[in-house]
Amino acid sequence: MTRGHRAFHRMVWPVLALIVAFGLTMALVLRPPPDHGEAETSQEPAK
Amino acid sequence: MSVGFKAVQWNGRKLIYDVIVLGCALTFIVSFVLVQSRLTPPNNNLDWIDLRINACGVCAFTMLTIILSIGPLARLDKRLLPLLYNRRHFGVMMFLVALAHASFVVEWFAERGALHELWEEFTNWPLYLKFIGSSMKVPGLVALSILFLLAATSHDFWLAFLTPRVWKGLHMLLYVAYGILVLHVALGVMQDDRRVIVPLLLGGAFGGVTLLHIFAAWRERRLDRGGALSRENWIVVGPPDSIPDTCARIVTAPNGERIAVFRDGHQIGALTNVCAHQNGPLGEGRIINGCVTCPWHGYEYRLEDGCAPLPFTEKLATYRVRVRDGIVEVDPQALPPGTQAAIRIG
Repeated sequence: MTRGHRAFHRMVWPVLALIVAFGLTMALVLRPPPDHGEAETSQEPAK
Repeated sequence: MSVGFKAVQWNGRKLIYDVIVLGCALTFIVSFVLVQSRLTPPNNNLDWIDLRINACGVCAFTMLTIILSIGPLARLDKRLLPLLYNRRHFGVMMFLVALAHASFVVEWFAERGALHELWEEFTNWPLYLKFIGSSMKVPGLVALSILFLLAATSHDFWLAFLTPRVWKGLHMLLYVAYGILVLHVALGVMQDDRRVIVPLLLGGAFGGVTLLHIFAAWRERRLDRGGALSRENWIVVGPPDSIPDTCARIVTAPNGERIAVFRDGHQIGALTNVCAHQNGPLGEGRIINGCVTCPWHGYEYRLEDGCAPLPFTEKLATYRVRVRDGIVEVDPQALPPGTQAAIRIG
């Protein structure tokens, strides 16, 4: 790899890790609670 | 190596590689469908399509996780270099599995006669302002588009057309596609499937790949600190015997570019560490049949002048080398590609 590619590579993974970790955490925390009443009916799951 | 371009450049090793990857992918998908259909028997055709969607999605994500791990693993342990040899075919296969996943989603809507719902999901602009409840298909489609771009430009024709520097930069978009895919799963499957294994596997896969890349880069940082310079600003390499025979020592010029200093018996020569093919780390290769051979795809160059042997036309920048008081030194100023610069010692 060239010096430029190495520099980009070293920057992109930590930045990507922060963004994805934040997104993943928020997606977990803000996940709506399971709706038991609805789960018992035979509705098609959203695709 | 090839003088011209072919649609698919197969050889014995590449065929074996492709057969193994294809076999593993098919085994994964078939096993997934068999196990899941036993655990949760499908009731109708929609359930079967759903099963195929999940099987191809999980397979493509697993393949991408492996593909992204190969690079840093090969840098950490040279025994894994053969995995890197035909990574592009692996990548194209992964794209085809991802495309099958997307095709089954379209089939799922078509089976219900509700293709308009799919279209409405993409054109429901208020959804784009949401995080939870937004369409997880949008990041999926963005990632699939990136994978298509990379698969379509994976051929050596595009590598030569775009130049290795631009091509390599473009193909680093794969990292971004991986991040988007993690969010595609987090906003999709993870919202409905409450099992703890889903976020664990998803976060574990992404975290593992990230740590591998960061660790491999951290281990190489010492190389980029730059070597000692002599009074005339030549880079001090060390005694000739400190360079293993038919191998190289990699030193770094003050401008940050790496130089591979090879020794072939009594001949010492310095070439740029960047292979003309895919910018592979030439200094991690060795001299085979008198030619410096790139560890990634076997591109060959003569040590004396950095030229590929005929009929090939690739040329590398070379560097002047000298031995002062029993110490090998390299001039950090690159010579024009193809310039004879190697010396004989003893």
